[in-house]
Amino acid sequence: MRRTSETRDRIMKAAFEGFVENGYDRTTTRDIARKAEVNEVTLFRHFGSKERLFMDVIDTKMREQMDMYIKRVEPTEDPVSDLVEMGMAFNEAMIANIPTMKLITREYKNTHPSMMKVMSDYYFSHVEVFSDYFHKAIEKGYIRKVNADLAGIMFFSYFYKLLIVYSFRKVRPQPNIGREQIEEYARLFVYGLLREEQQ
Amino acid sequence: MKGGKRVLKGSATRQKILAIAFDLFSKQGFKRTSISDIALYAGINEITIYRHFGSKDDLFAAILKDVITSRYRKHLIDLEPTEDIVADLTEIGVAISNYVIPNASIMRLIIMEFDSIPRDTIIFADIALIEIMNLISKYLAKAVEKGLIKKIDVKFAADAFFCFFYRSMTDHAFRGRDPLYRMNRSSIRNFVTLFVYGIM
Repeated sequence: MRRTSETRDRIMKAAFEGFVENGYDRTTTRDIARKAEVNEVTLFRHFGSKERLFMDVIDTKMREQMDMYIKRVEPTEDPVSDLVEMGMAFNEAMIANIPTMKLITREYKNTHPSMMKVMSDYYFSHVEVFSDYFHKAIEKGYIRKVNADLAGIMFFSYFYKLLIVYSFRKVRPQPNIGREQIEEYARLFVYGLLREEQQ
Repeated sequence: MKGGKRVLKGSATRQKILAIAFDLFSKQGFKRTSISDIALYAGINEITIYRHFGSKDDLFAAILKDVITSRYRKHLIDLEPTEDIVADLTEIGVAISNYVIPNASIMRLIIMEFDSIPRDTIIFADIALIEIMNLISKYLAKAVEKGLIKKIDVKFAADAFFCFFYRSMTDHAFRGRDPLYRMNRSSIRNFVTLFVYGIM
Protein backbone atom coordinates (compact mmCIF):
# COMPACT_ATOMS: atom_id res chain seq x y z
CA MET A 1 0.00 0.00 0.00
CA ARG A 2 2.74 2.39 0.96
CA ARG A 3 4.69 1.54 -2.14
CA THR A 4 1.69 2.26 -4.33
CA SER A 5 1.28 5.72 -2.90
CA GLU A 6 4.99 6.37 -3.28
CA THR A 7 4.79 5.40 -6.94
CA ARG A 8 1.81 7.65 -7.38
CA ASP A 9 3.66 10.60 -5.85
CA ARG A 10 6.69 9.95 -8.01
CA ILE A 11 4.59 9.95 -11.16
CA MET A 12 2.84 13.15 -10.14
CA LYS A 13 6.11 14.88 -9.38
CA ALA A 14 7.61 13.87 -12.72
CA ALA A 15 4.42 14.91 -14.50
CA PHE A 16 4.29 18.33 -12.85
CA GLU A 17 7.92 19.05 -13.74
CA GLY A 18 7.38 17.88 -17.30
CA PHE A 19 4.23 19.96 -17.79
CA VAL A 20 5.81 23.08 -16.34
CA GLU A 21 8.94 22.70 -18.41
CA ASN A 22 7.56 21.58 -21.74
CA GLY A 23 3.82 22.18 -21.66
CA TYR A 24 1.00 19.67 -21.79
CA ASP A 25 1.18 18.80 -25.49
CA ARG A 26 4.88 18.18 -25.57
CA THR A 27 5.01 16.04 -22.45
CA THR A 28 4.21 12.41 -23.26
CA THR A 29 3.18 9.75 -20.79
CA ARG A 30 6.26 7.89 -21.90
CA ASP A 31 8.51 10.79 -20.85
CA ILE A 32 6.77 11.00 -17.51
CA ALA A 33 7.03 7.26 -16.91
CA ARG A 34 10.72 7.31 -17.77
CA LYS A 35 11.41 10.22 -15.47
CA ALA A 36 9.45 8.62 -12.62
CA GLU A 37 11.23 5.34 -13.30
CA VAL A 38 8.04 3.37 -13.69
CA ASN A 39 6.47 1.39 -16.49
CA GLU A 40 4.11 3.39 -18.69
CA VAL A 41 1.43 0.78 -17.96
CA THR A 42 1.77 1.56 -14.26
CA LEU A 43 1.12 5.21 -15.01
CA PHE A 44 -2.09 4.37 -16.87
CA ARG A 45 -3.15 1.96 -14.16
CA HIS A 46 -2.87 4.75 -11.62
CA PHE A 47 -4.32 7.64 -13.59
CA GLY A 48 -6.23 6.27 -16.56
CA SER A 49 -5.20 8.97 -19.00
CA LYS A 50 -2.81 11.84 -19.48
CA GLU A 51 -5.67 14.27 -19.06
CA ARG A 52 -6.71 12.70 -15.76
CA LEU A 53 -3.10 12.77 -14.60
CA PHE A 54 -2.85 16.45 -15.44
CA MET A 55 -6.02 17.24 -13.48
CA ASP A 56 -4.83 15.22 -10.49
CA VAL A 57 -1.47 16.96 -10.53
CA ILE A 58 -3.00 20.44 -10.54
CA ASP A 59 -5.57 19.50 -7.94
CA THR A 60 -2.95 18.02 -5.62
CA LYS A 61 -0.53 20.92 -6.06
CA MET A 62 -3.17 23.48 -5.25
CA ARG A 63 -4.44 21.61 -2.23
CA GLU A 64 -0.91 21.12 -0.92
CA GLN A 65 -0.12 24.80 -1.22
CA MET A 66 -3.40 25.78 0.32
CA ASP A 67 -2.93 23.54 3.34
CA MET A 68 0.59 24.78 3.77
CA TYR A 69 -0.19 28.49 3.81
CA ILE A 70 -3.80 28.96 4.75
CA LYS A 71 -4.03 30.76 8.01
CA ARG A 72 -7.23 31.04 9.95
CA VAL A 73 -6.81 33.88 12.39
CA GLU A 74 -8.93 34.38 15.48
CA PRO A 75 -10.03 38.02 15.52
CA THR A 76 -8.34 40.25 18.08
CA GLU A 77 -8.93 43.88 18.95
CA ASP A 78 -6.27 44.80 16.43
CA PRO A 79 -7.77 43.99 13.02
CA VAL A 80 -4.82 45.60 11.18
CA SER A 81 -2.33 43.08 12.51
CA ASP A 82 -4.81 40.22 12.03
CA LEU A 83 -5.18 41.19 8.39
CA VAL A 84 -1.45 41.57 7.94
CA GLU A 85 -0.95 38.08 9.33
CA MET A 86 -3.55 36.57 7.01
CA GLY A 87 -2.36 38.65 4.10
CA MET A 88 1.26 37.59 4.54
CA ALA A 89 0.30 33.92 4.61
CA PHE A 90 -1.90 34.31 1.59
CA ASN A 91 0.77 36.21 -0.29
CA GLU A 92 3.20 33.36 0.32
CA ALA A 93 0.62 30.92 -0.99
CA MET A 94 0.25 33.03 -4.12
CA ILE A 95 4.01 33.11 -4.65
CA ALA A 96 4.22 29.34 -4.20
CA ASN A 97 1.38 29.05 -6.65
CA ILE A 98 2.97 30.86 -9.57
CA PRO A 99 4.20 27.78 -11.49
CA THR A 100 0.85 26.03 -11.09
CA MET A 101 -1.02 29.16 -12.09
CA LYS A 102 1.15 29.63 -15.15
CA LEU A 103 0.55 26.02 -16.08
CA ILE A 104 -3.21 26.30 -15.77
CA THR A 105 -3.51 29.45 -17.82
CA ARG A 106 -1.03 28.36 -20.44
CA GLU A 107 -2.88 25.07 -20.81
CA TYR A 108 -6.28 26.68 -20.62
CA LYS A 109 -7.33 25.21 -23.97
CA ASN A 110 -6.41 21.68 -22.91
CA THR A 111 -7.92 21.86 -19.50
CA HIS A 112 -11.11 23.82 -19.87
CA PRO A 113 -13.64 23.48 -18.30
CA SER A 114 -13.01 21.01 -15.47
CA MET A 115 -9.74 22.71 -14.57
CA MET A 116 -11.53 25.95 -13.98
CA LYS A 117 -13.69 24.20 -11.41
CA VAL A 118 -10.64 22.98 -9.53
CA MET A 119 -9.10 26.42 -9.64
CA SER A 120 -12.23 28.18 -8.52
CA ASP A 121 -12.83 25.76 -5.64
CA TYR A 122 -9.31 26.46 -4.61
CA TYR A 123 -9.58 30.16 -4.62
CA PHE A 124 -13.10 30.39 -3.24
CA SER A 125 -11.82 28.67 -0.15
CA HIS A 126 -9.40 31.56 0.28
CA VAL A 127 -12.21 34.08 0.04
CA GLU A 128 -14.10 32.04 2.60
CA VAL A 129 -11.22 32.15 5.06
CA PHE A 130 -11.29 35.96 4.92
CA SER A 131 -15.07 36.21 5.10
CA ASP A 132 -15.07 33.87 8.11
CA TYR A 133 -12.67 36.19 9.84
CA PHE A 134 -14.89 39.21 9.19
CA HIS A 135 -18.00 37.36 10.37
CA LYS A 136 -16.29 36.45 13.63
CA ALA A 137 -14.83 39.92 14.13
CA ILE A 138 -18.31 41.44 13.73
CA GLU A 139 -19.74 38.93 16.17
CA LYS A 140 -17.13 39.85 18.73
CA GLY A 141 -17.75 43.53 18.16
CA TYR A 142 -14.20 44.28 17.02
CA ILE A 143 -15.34 45.77 13.72
CA ARG A 144 -18.58 47.40 12.69
CA LYS A 145 -21.39 45.49 11.00
CA VAL A 146 -20.22 45.29 7.41
CA ASN A 147 -21.11 42.82 4.70
CA ALA A 148 -18.56 40.17 5.68
CA ASP A 149 -18.78 38.33 2.39
CA LEU A 150 -18.13 41.48 0.40
CA ALA A 151 -15.25 42.36 2.73
CA GLY A 152 -13.79 38.90 2.11
CA ILE A 153 -13.95 39.33 -1.65
CA MET A 154 -12.45 42.81 -1.39
CA PHE A 155 -9.56 41.74 0.78
CA PHE A 156 -8.93 38.77 -1.47
CA SER A 157 -8.96 40.86 -4.68
CA TYR A 158 -5.78 42.69 -3.81
CA PHE A 159 -3.76 39.51 -3.50
CA TYR A 160 -5.38 37.94 -6.48
CA LYS A 161 -4.27 40.83 -8.64
CA LEU A 162 -0.75 40.42 -7.29
CA LEU A 163 -0.85 36.75 -8.30
CA ILE A 164 -1.84 37.66 -11.86
CA VAL A 165 0.88 40.28 -12.02
CA TYR A 166 3.47 37.85 -10.60
CA SER A 167 2.41 35.12 -12.97
CA PHE A 168 2.36 36.95 -16.24
CA ARG A 169 4.66 39.88 -15.99
CA LYS A 170 8.32 40.02 -15.28
CA VAL A 171 7.65 41.40 -11.82
CA ARG A 172 9.36 39.29 -9.24
CA PRO A 173 7.63 38.92 -5.92
CA GLN A 174 9.69 40.45 -3.16
CA PRO A 175 8.67 39.19 0.26
CA ASN A 176 10.12 42.08 2.28
CA ILE A 177 8.53 44.73 0.09
CA GLY A 178 5.47 42.55 0.36
CA ARG A 179 5.21 43.11 4.10
CA GLU A 180 5.18 46.91 3.97
CA GLN A 181 2.73 46.85 1.14
CA ILE A 182 0.43 44.45 2.94
CA GLU A 183 0.55 46.58 6.09
CA GLU A 184 -0.39 49.64 4.11
CA TYR A 185 -3.22 47.77 2.45
CA ALA A 186 -4.52 46.46 5.77
CA ARG A 187 -4.56 49.97 7.25
CA LEU A 188 -6.42 51.39 4.28
CA PHE A 189 -8.82 48.48 4.45
CA VAL A 190 -9.51 48.90 8.13
CA TYR A 191 -9.74 52.70 8.34
CA GLY A 192 -10.93 53.62 4.87
CA LEU A 193 -10.42 57.00 3.28
CA LEU A 194 -11.87 59.17 6.02
CA ARG A 195 -10.91 58.00 9.47
CA GLU A 196 -7.44 58.71 10.78
CA GLU A 197 -5.54 55.71 12.01
CA GLN A 198 -5.45 55.01 15.69
CA GLN A 199 -2.04 54.62 17.19
CA MET B 1 -12.75 65.47 -50.77
CA LYS B 2 -11.37 63.40 -53.57
CA GLY B 3 -11.43 59.67 -52.89
CA GLY B 4 -13.51 60.14 -49.73
CA LYS B 5 -15.75 57.25 -50.62
CA ARG B 6 -12.82 54.93 -51.09
CA VAL B 7 -11.41 55.84 -47.70
CA LEU B 8 -14.74 55.03 -46.11
CA LYS B 9 -14.85 51.69 -47.84
CA GLY B 10 -11.28 51.03 -46.78
CA SER B 11 -12.15 51.75 -43.19
CA ALA B 12 -15.11 49.36 -43.30
CA THR B 13 -12.80 46.64 -44.59
CA ARG B 14 -10.35 47.46 -41.85
CA GLN B 15 -13.02 47.12 -39.17
CA LYS B 16 -14.15 43.84 -40.66
CA ILE B 17 -10.61 42.45 -40.64
CA LEU B 18 -10.12 43.55 -37.03
CA ALA B 19 -13.36 41.92 -35.90
CA ILE B 20 -12.74 38.64 -37.68
CA ALA B 21 -9.10 38.47 -36.64
CA PHE B 22 -10.03 39.04 -33.00
CA ASP B 23 -12.70 36.36 -33.19
CA LEU B 24 -10.29 33.83 -34.69
CA PHE B 25 -7.43 34.68 -32.34
CA SER B 26 -9.79 34.19 -29.39
CA LYS B 27 -11.09 30.88 -30.67
CA GLN B 28 -7.94 29.25 -32.03
CA GLY B 29 -5.17 31.24 -30.42
CA PHE B 30 -2.72 33.65 -31.94
CA LYS B 31 -0.16 31.11 -33.08
CA ARG B 32 -2.66 28.83 -34.75
CA THR B 33 -4.38 31.56 -36.73
CA SER B 34 -2.81 32.55 -40.03
CA ILE B 35 -3.39 35.59 -42.19
CA SER B 36 -4.87 33.29 -44.82
CA ASP B 37 -7.43 31.97 -42.28
CA ILE B 38 -8.48 35.53 -41.57
CA ALA B 39 -8.69 36.36 -45.27
CA LEU B 40 -10.80 33.28 -45.88
CA TYR B 41 -13.29 34.12 -43.13
CA ALA B 42 -13.44 37.77 -44.14
CA GLY B 43 -13.95 36.80 -47.75
CA ILE B 44 -11.19 39.07 -48.92
CA ASN B 45 -7.81 38.72 -50.51
CA GLU B 46 -4.87 38.03 -48.22
CA ILE B 47 -2.95 40.88 -49.80
CA THR B 48 -5.63 43.32 -48.57
CA ILE B 49 -4.82 42.39 -44.97
CA TYR B 50 -1.13 42.92 -45.54
CA ARG B 51 -1.85 46.24 -47.22
CA HIS B 52 -3.90 47.40 -44.22
CA PHE B 53 -1.81 46.06 -41.39
CA GLY B 54 1.62 44.97 -42.58
CA SER B 55 2.04 41.76 -40.59
CA LYS B 56 0.22 39.42 -38.25
CA ASP B 57 2.02 41.03 -35.30
CA ASP B 58 0.95 44.49 -36.43
CA LEU B 59 -2.59 43.25 -36.92
CA PHE B 60 -2.63 41.98 -33.36
CA ALA B 61 -1.32 45.30 -32.09
CA ALA B 62 -4.05 47.08 -34.05
CA ILE B 63 -6.72 44.91 -32.43
CA LEU B 64 -5.46 45.68 -28.95
CA LYS B 65 -5.18 49.34 -29.75
CA ASP B 66 -8.63 49.44 -31.28
CA VAL B 67 -10.51 47.56 -28.60
CA ILE B 68 -8.66 48.72 -25.55
CA THR B 69 -8.04 52.34 -26.29
CA SER B 70 -11.05 53.43 -28.24
CA ARG B 71 -14.29 51.52 -28.03
CA TYR B 72 -14.95 51.61 -24.30
CA ARG B 73 -12.74 54.50 -23.42
CA LYS B 74 -15.62 56.97 -23.51
CA HIS B 75 -16.78 55.52 -20.19
CA LEU B 76 -13.77 56.93 -18.43
CA ILE B 77 -14.55 60.44 -17.34
CA ASP B 78 -12.66 62.86 -15.14
CA LEU B 79 -14.67 63.77 -12.07
CA GLU B 80 -14.42 66.81 -9.87
CA PRO B 81 -14.71 65.65 -6.24
CA THR B 82 -17.87 66.66 -4.41
CA GLU B 83 -18.84 66.33 -0.75
CA ASP B 84 -20.34 62.97 -1.59
CA ILE B 85 -17.24 60.82 -2.05
CA VAL B 86 -19.25 57.60 -2.18
CA ALA B 87 -21.39 58.87 -5.06
CA ASP B 88 -18.32 60.11 -6.96
CA LEU B 89 -16.40 56.86 -6.56
CA THR B 90 -19.49 54.87 -7.49
CA GLU B 91 -19.57 56.81 -10.79
CA ILE B 92 -15.91 55.99 -11.32
CA GLY B 93 -16.44 52.35 -10.34
CA VAL B 94 -19.32 51.96 -12.79
CA ALA B 95 -17.20 53.53 -15.54
CA ILE B 96 -14.31 51.17 -14.81
CA SER B 97 -16.62 48.17 -14.74
CA ASN B 98 -18.11 49.17 -18.10
CA TYR B 99 -14.63 49.55 -19.48
CA VAL B 100 -12.88 46.43 -18.22
CA ILE B 101 -15.57 43.75 -18.22
CA PRO B 102 -16.21 43.88 -21.99
CA ASN B 103 -12.44 43.68 -22.44
CA ALA B 104 -12.20 40.40 -20.53
CA SER B 105 -11.89 38.42 -23.76
CA ILE B 106 -8.82 40.46 -24.70
CA MET B 107 -7.36 39.73 -21.32
CA ARG B 108 -7.93 36.01 -21.80
CA LEU B 109 -6.24 36.15 -25.17
CA ILE B 110 -3.24 37.98 -23.73
CA ILE B 111 -2.89 35.58 -20.79
CA MET B 112 -3.38 32.43 -22.83
CA GLU B 113 -1.06 33.48 -25.59
CA PHE B 114 1.43 35.34 -23.48
CA ASP B 115 4.32 33.32 -24.85
CA SER B 116 3.45 33.76 -28.50
CA ILE B 117 2.03 37.23 -28.93
CA PRO B 118 4.42 40.01 -29.86
CA ARG B 119 5.78 41.44 -26.63
CA ASP B 120 5.61 45.08 -27.62
CA THR B 121 1.87 44.95 -28.28
CA ILE B 122 1.14 44.38 -24.61
CA ILE B 123 1.89 48.06 -24.17
CA PHE B 124 -1.68 48.81 -25.26
CA ALA B 125 -3.10 46.75 -22.43
CA ASP B 126 -0.73 48.56 -20.08
CA ILE B 127 -1.86 51.93 -21.39
CA ALA B 128 -5.46 51.02 -20.63
CA LEU B 129 -4.58 49.98 -17.08
CA ILE B 130 -2.49 53.10 -16.54
CA GLU B 131 -5.36 55.26 -17.75
CA ILE B 132 -7.69 53.68 -15.24
CA MET B 133 -5.18 54.06 -12.43
CA ASN B 134 -4.65 57.70 -13.35
CA LEU B 135 -8.35 58.35 -13.39
CA ILE B 136 -8.73 57.05 -9.84
CA SER B 137 -5.58 58.57 -8.40
CA LYS B 138 -6.27 61.98 -9.98
CA TYR B 139 -9.68 62.00 -8.37
CA LEU B 140 -8.29 60.95 -5.00
CA ALA B 141 -5.51 63.55 -5.18
CA LYS B 142 -8.04 66.30 -5.79
CA ALA B 143 -10.18 65.00 -2.92
CA VAL B 144 -7.16 65.08 -0.59
CA GLU B 145 -6.37 68.61 -1.74
CA LYS B 146 -9.89 69.76 -0.99
CA GLY B 147 -9.69 68.13 2.43
CA LEU B 148 -12.55 65.76 1.61
CA ILE B 149 -10.54 62.69 2.50
CA LYS B 150 -7.51 62.16 4.69
CA LYS B 151 -3.95 62.30 3.35
CA ILE B 152 -3.23 58.97 1.72
CA ASP B 153 -0.86 57.60 -0.88
CA VAL B 154 -3.25 58.10 -3.78
CA LYS B 155 -1.47 55.74 -6.17
CA PHE B 156 -1.58 52.98 -3.63
CA ALA B 157 -5.25 53.63 -2.85
CA ALA B 158 -6.05 53.69 -6.58
CA ASP B 159 -4.52 50.24 -6.93
CA ALA B 160 -6.47 48.97 -3.93
CA PHE B 161 -9.66 50.35 -5.48
CA PHE B 162 -8.99 48.98 -8.92
CA CYS B 163 -8.10 45.43 -7.86
CA PHE B 164 -11.75 44.80 -6.99
CA PHE B 165 -12.65 45.25 -10.66
CA TYR B 166 -9.55 43.51 -11.89
CA ARG B 167 -10.51 40.35 -10.00
CA SER B 168 -13.93 40.41 -11.60
CA MET B 169 -12.44 40.94 -15.05
CA THR B 170 -10.17 37.94 -14.50
CA ASP B 171 -13.15 35.75 -13.66
CA HIS B 172 -14.94 36.96 -16.75
CA ALA B 173 -11.84 36.20 -18.79
CA PHE B 174 -11.54 32.62 -17.59
CA ARG B 175 -15.10 31.62 -16.94
CA GLY B 176 -17.17 34.04 -18.93
CA ARG B 177 -18.86 35.21 -15.73
CA ASP B 178 -18.13 36.35 -12.21
CA PRO B 179 -19.40 33.78 -9.72
CA LEU B 180 -18.36 35.87 -6.71
CA TYR B 181 -19.93 39.26 -7.22
CA ARG B 182 -22.57 40.67 -9.50
CA MET B 183 -21.41 44.05 -10.71
CA ASN B 184 -24.08 46.69 -11.03
CA ARG B 185 -24.51 50.24 -9.83
CA SER B 186 -25.90 49.32 -6.43
CA SER B 187 -23.44 46.52 -5.70
CA ILE B 188 -20.59 48.79 -6.77
CA ARG B 189 -21.94 51.38 -4.36
CA ASN B 190 -21.78 48.82 -1.55
CA PHE B 191 -18.17 48.15 -2.39
CA VAL B 192 -17.35 51.86 -2.53
CA THR B 193 -19.02 52.48 0.82
CA LEU B 194 -16.89 49.83 2.46
CA PHE B 195 -13.81 51.20 0.71
CA VAL B 196 -14.47 54.75 1.86
CA TYR B 197 -15.49 54.02 5.45
CA GLY B 198 -13.33 51.00 6.19
CA ILE B 199 -14.40 48.27 8.54
CA MET B 200 -13.84 49.95 11.89
